[in-house]
Amino acid sequence: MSTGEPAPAVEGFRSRLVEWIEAHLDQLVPPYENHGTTDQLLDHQRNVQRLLFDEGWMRWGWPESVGGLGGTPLYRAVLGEELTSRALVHTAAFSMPEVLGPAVVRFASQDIARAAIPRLLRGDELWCQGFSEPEAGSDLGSLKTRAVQDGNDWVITGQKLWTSWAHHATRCIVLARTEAVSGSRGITAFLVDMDTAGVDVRPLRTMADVDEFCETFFDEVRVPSARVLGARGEGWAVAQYVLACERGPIFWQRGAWLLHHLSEIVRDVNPEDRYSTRLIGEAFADVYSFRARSRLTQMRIAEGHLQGAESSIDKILIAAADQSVFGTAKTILGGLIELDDGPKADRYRKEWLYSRAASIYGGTAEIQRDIVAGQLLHLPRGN
Amino acid sequence: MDSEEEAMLRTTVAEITRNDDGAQLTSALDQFGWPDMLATNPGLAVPAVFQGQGVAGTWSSAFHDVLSSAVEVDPNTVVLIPWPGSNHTGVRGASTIQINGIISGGRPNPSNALVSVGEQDRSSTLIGVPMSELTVRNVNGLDPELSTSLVTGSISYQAKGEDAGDLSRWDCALANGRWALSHQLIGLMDAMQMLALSHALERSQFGRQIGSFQAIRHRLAEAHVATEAARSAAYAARPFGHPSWERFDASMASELAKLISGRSAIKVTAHCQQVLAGIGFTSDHPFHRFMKRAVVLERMLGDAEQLAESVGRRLAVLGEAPRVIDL
Repeated sequence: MSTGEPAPAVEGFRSRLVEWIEAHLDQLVPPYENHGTTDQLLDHQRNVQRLLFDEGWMRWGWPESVGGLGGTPLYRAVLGEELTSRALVHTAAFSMPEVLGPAVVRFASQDIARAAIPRLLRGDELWCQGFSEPEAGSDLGSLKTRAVQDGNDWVITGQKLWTSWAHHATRCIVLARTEAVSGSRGITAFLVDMDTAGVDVRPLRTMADVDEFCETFFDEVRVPSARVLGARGEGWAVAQYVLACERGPIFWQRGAWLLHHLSEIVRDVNPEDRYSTRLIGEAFADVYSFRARSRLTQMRIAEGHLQGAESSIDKILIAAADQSVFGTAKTILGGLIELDDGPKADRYRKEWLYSRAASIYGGTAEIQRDIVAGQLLHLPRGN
Repeated sequence: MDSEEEAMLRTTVAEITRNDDGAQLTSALDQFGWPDMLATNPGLAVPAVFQGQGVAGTWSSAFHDVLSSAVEVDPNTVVLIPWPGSNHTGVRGASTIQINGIISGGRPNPSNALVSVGEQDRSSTLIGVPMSELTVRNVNGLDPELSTSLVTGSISYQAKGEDAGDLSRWDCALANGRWALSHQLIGLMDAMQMLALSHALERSQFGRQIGSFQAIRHRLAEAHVATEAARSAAYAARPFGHPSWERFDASMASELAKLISGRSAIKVTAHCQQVLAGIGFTSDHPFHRFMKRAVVLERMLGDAEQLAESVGRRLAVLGEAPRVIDL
């Protein structure tokens, strides 16, 4: 595949992709058992991304102006779906370019986006998201990290929390307060290089014993003005855009990841076992509800309508589906997660533990319900 | 998403289903051309009519019409609805077939009843039985306005039937019936939510609109999410025999639509009832009509638990969780 070729229809794209995947399995299957360590997982992720980029797959659905091959963003959802549904990549790692890439395409200067996006897509770089702080979780608008202008630079000081893979990241989108107003209005977004002097990263371990997220400290970190995303004081719009983008291809591939695990556990279920088939049916209905809803969202995004409050419904449904699938796995696997030390137990234990956070990360279930109540149902705000 | 023509049709059908109920609604729908639309464009007609009936809290022969058209029998034959918990209306005994079915809002004075006899290999045989050989008893039950009758009888084993086969017309009736009921449940959920929402805005306690309390806001948000999940699942299903669908997927998609709308409807009734509190418990307030109808229809053609078991069994037989729908 090369630039200049007309964009294929989604179905055509999918069938060519599947054919290509099947012909390249020797390079795509992870070289480790189960999840591997974070280093192994990210190494494999980089190798797969490089291969996908060089063969063009990773570039479809991204604008040509930043090194993509153009066409509908549905290609990105299909690519993620076909890879994660075969467990060739881990969905948490493979979703990383989708978290921050679209915001840089939209809000960075043309020069910066053109230089940075191909490196992100090719796996040469990994980016992290510096939004949450110790005192600013659900109430993100109260964040305290400050940026002060100094000549042509901004100087950032503060602490971020839950910055996934900051210890492996080359860049970070940082939200900092630049204006003397409180709340969401005085915030600016910056694209910061992680090797800048004053950036210090301390990994935390999740309860699944994974060193995925970190505390990240910024001590008078100097950032050129050109690295402001969007306009000064418009950081809230950037943050909203990043959160909205999560509901696009990332959600679709997470759905595929859930189906993959449900497929794996259903293989051991006897069709005449009414208790187990009912549990499986209920979990499948949860995933299906989400997928039926998300399918419409993906279509709307592909038509250029980024979803706002409406997509809080998708977020609530996927969190429920996630916890339902791994909760069902825990029951069907009959003690494996709780009492076994084998590799399959370890893998499912990690996934089940990770699913506990599905109703917390990316805006808690409670925040999503507040958005639905306030913005979709127009109920009055409480005090 | 709607074309202009579709939007117009919806508006007109909403008006018809609001203005009349029961036999009058059946006549009004006939005049509007519903039987023809059901035959030629079910993908448009069924969601419009059933959501309309749901929102308005009305009922007609439309449900029996969907079943009849799926098994391709004339309108003088009424397709018996299985008793909750069963997929069939006839059970083969030693020398007789025991018939146990339901008619709910059917067309007047049918001459025959169509009975589906379940066979061991899960295929079915369809048998036409003269109504004169059956006992019909009207029941009120939880929702008297559904005009329900229980139909029972016993016919000799040799009764003439036609093998509906593995990929049976009966599967088609179940699938289309479930799909139609899903849309009616969505209409009922919309209606219950409208009642609860306006109450949350009008009612004050502790000097505040109760809709400003987070406990109320979250219940109504939950109800909304459950309704939208059902809506997406119902629109992901399509009438049986749609050319782009494998039979397996069509039948599974209808089961899923009914499963999801059924359990959503139960959630929505609970949340809205709680928000409406005392006033929603009175017979003066319209809530109970929608709630009772949702509870009865949730049981028709498989409740959420039965359908979950059925969907789970399909997955266990397949050995995988299929995508069913795709981008």
